[in-house]
Amino acid sequence: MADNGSTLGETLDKVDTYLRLQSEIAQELRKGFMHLAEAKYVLGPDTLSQFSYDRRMQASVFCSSKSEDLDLDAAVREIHLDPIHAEPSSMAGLRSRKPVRKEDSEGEGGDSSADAIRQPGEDDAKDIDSNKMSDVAAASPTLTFKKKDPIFMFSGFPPKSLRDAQSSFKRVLDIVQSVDLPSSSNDRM
Amino acid sequence: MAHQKDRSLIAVIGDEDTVTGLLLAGVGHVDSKQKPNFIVVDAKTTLSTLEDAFIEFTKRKDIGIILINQHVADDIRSLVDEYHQAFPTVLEIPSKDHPYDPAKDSVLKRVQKLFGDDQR
Repeated sequence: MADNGSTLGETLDKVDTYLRLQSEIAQELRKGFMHLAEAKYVLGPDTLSQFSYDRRMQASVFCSSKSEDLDLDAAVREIHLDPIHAEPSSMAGLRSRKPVRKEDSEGEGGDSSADAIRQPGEDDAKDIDSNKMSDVAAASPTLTFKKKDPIFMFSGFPPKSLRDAQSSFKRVLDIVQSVDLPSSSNDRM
Repeated sequence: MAHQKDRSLIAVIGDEDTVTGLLLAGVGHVDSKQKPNFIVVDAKTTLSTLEDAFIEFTKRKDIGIILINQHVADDIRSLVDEYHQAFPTVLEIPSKDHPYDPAKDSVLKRVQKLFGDDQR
């Protein structure tokens, strides 16, 4: 009896939360539709229509189950290259150069001089390679493939209204992700 | 049976503005078989096309959530109300011209039905 009461209470709380989130979704959608209408006015109605959809588009936003620790933001971060949080390459920077081994050349005798003659060539090649590698590494710190922003499907230079519309719809997805359907708890009753 | 973590796509069934907006947000996906995870419903869309799209999305193993405009869900209300699977989750959302009506929401109807069954 007590269990039924607590489950009933939980369900009612979930219904309340669900209705509140639906109201938030409606608010964000209203803003999104308004910005979209502005963007249509700026770009033209044919530009923002189903005929402009890229037939090879790939999703850049995914939903994740609540049982996993991964949330929507983390999922999006995984897909998009985040240069600020990317791990720095071991080559460390665009202009890094391999340090000259002065101690080795000074400490040893003829061999070192011979080595010193030979090594600079090798070292130069290595330096060139390491510089190239550091350039490449700096340009793309990780090998994650960056997906194209879907906004560019509609315009190469998207107006502010289109970006605002995109933000509003992204917020809608954030709210959708947090919706916990009240009927799911009833399955346990 | 598909694992929960494989169901990562968000499908959309709605009017052009809703689908365009959500595609802007990044949910749009066309797979290797040229099957999109969205469908634009307009005046020319037949009921059978709509029903087939809904059934197809509910059977796909890579879709976790289906967002459907409530006025579109009204056209296939019997199908939506009879849908009881946990995944993909079906969520009714308002459109530009049709506000959200909690009385029509299939999720709330199911909760109401359960409460009604408990009170008997």
